[in-house]
Amino acid sequence: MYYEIRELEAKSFQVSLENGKVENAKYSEYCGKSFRVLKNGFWGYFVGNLRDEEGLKKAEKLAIFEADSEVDSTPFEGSFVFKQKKKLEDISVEEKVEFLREIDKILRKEGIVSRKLTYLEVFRNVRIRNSSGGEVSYEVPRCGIIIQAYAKGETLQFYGERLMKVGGFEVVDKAYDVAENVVETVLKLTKAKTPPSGKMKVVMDPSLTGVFVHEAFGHAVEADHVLQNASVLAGKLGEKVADESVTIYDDPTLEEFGFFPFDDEGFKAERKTIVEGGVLKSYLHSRETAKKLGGKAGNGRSDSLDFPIVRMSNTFLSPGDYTLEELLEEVKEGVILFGSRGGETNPATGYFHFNTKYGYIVRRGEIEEMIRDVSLSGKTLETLRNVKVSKDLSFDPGFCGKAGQLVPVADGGPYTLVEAFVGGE
Amino acid sequence: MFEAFDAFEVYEVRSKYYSISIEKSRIKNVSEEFEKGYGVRVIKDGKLAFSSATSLDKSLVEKLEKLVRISEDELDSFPSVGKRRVGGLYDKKLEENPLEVLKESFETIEAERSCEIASGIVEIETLERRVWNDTGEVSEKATFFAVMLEAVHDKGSAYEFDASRKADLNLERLTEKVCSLAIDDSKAKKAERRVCDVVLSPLAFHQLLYFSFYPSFNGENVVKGRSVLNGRKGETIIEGLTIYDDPTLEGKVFSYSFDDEGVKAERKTLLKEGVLKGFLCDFKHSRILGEKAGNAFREDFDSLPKIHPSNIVVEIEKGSFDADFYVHSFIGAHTANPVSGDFSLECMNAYQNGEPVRGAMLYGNVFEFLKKVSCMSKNVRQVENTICGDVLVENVEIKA
Repeated sequence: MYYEIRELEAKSFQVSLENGKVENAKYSEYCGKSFRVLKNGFWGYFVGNLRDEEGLKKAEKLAIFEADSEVDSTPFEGSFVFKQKKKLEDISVEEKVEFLREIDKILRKEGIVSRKLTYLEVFRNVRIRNSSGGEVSYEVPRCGIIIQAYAKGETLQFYGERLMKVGGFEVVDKAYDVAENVVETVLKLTKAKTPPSGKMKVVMDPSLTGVFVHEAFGHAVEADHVLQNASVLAGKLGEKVADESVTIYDDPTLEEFGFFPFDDEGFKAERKTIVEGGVLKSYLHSRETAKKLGGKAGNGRSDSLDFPIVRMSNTFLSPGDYTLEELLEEVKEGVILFGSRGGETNPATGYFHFNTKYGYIVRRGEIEEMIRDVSLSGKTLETLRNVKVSKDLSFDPGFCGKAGQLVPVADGGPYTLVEAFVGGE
Repeated sequence: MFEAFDAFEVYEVRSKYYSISIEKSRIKNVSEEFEKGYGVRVIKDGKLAFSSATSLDKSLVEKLEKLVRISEDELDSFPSVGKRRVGGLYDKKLEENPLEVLKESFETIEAERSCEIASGIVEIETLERRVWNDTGEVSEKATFFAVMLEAVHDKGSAYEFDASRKADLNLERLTEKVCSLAIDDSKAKKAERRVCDVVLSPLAFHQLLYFSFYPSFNGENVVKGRSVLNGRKGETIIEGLTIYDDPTLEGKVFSYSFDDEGVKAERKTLLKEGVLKGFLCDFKHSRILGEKAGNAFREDFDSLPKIHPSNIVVEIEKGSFDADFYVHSFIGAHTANPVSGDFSLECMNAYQNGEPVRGAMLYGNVFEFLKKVSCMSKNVRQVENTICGDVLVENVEIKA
């Protein structure tokens, strides 16, 4: 019988400045315990504030079936505290609000009809023990700001950006630049046209590239999808699945929003090479899928005290040799697209579909008029077979949802040139 | 405990949650989760603050004192609590024998499946909510039963879900449906581009409305200049369309006797014969807009109450119809623009002239799109917030 006990203490603070007013100020504290028992190949899972023996007994009682689950029970030991440069505890709520007011000044421009700034911080304190003697604990702070503006011109439009990372108050240092960009973009958006549609050459910015890699590729290498036969990449390890210029990593040790020192199964975090030179190298694993498929665990994550499942951390497409200008030169008639308002992929079929925040028409390598509500869709593997990759690299934070659980992640990449289906009126 | 403040409100949740996960047609785990927590709001000098914790103690009060100093969230009181009699929200069987129901559910799914159930979850929750403030106290015990299945067959896939307040879900039908959709999808051909009449299933219609249409009726969005419906009460928005929000319907998934601020449940008309009649509000925005409160929802005890629809009933002329194109669901519905109503969505499990197709896309603006809706089937279904039938939309451009 294998078991795990996970204790979680989470503290969060959040406050918004909406149209200049402090709203939704909120402190939350959560503390709880989960117990997981693997017996006869079946998981019993109990969440509740009980002492170890009682909790384990409850979980064991829920293991009422027989199945074929097994785990890599490798124990890890260690304790980790993330070092903040500007400690969140040392800054008063008044100062945090004052900071929001400074940012808000940037958003107060003619044409902006509504503004919303949200500051947030979360401390996550975790301790995980298992039956093979492992015991890890860590404390990780996350901090961030979400900047949104609504503008009215020919149409009512909104635009927002998020700046979120692991760390202390230093994370939001760049918020001033982000706010400038939000204002400029939303004002332009009210005059933007709806895009053309059809299959065409598309330059994706680093943010959209990141979402593409996350949605269209990352989910397909989550080993639970592979085991469920619900992945286009099932059975393709060692095969060429993309152009030679494609190398993709998942790296929880990078100090981005998806950082963790140990996963929620108490397994040590490390960088995973998913694709190298276009060849599929490995899937992402929990303790269970690693045992079943012969991979390395370390990507078992959980929202609060939910059952840990295979998740990404900081997933990115590695930079290449091109400059943005060189990529644009290859576009006779196409688009350049920026950011994503969300996306969805069917990992079973490889169909992806996302909406970008905005874009521009590109003609003969020149960036021309702005377009809005542009969607991008296609088939993952076809799209990645023909891709050119720039030298740049940047990350975008977000919360990734799977099976009703949200976890913090970051997606990254360079500018990329692909061919895909662009949608619009 | 809250003497330092002018007014207080405690929202207490106790939940017992049971679930099974299905992976590759087998049960993978059984979970049991007990949760108890408190979300507390206080008012001091007309300003509001919120804090939550798993226990009610002094440190919570200290945090509230800190927050109320910086808050500019204006509110001078909490609403008078009240409760309406709404039947069918609780099923003893779900509370007392959750494991048995889960086991039976799995057996039914297993017996009825005609292809692989790649993943699935069956959930049962007993939720006790209690709201008390200076004006009194209300409480309610409710049960939920929900199933989500994802079927995969060869290169085809599909998902379906259903929910109820009783142990009465028709899992035979649900399993059969999701499997036949996945099997059809494995034979799907490329969709052809054309302009034709389109039928949206209740699931597809809900996905479209939830992300691109309902946000415009949200009273907070209206007050803050984030709704295109701002200032248009009395105007015809979409001719012939009637929709109302009704939490008082017996046994519906989003029914309640009081909302998460303790306000008595009440039906609200949003559009009547196309004319804009009202917005959805929590207590604060109801006062600003002069609307009824009663649509405050909290995701959990640690969330602030936010405006959300309850059961939205869509009324369109009913009849029977045929169309060349049928859409079961959309991929990426959450990417629609909640402010302008613009959407560009890919159809999943769609049929063109009765044959399964892939790669079809629909574009447009929801306010224009809904003007083309002409008819709804008689058999209605609830999908999350939306209660409607199959919906016929005329002259829609399908892109491929």
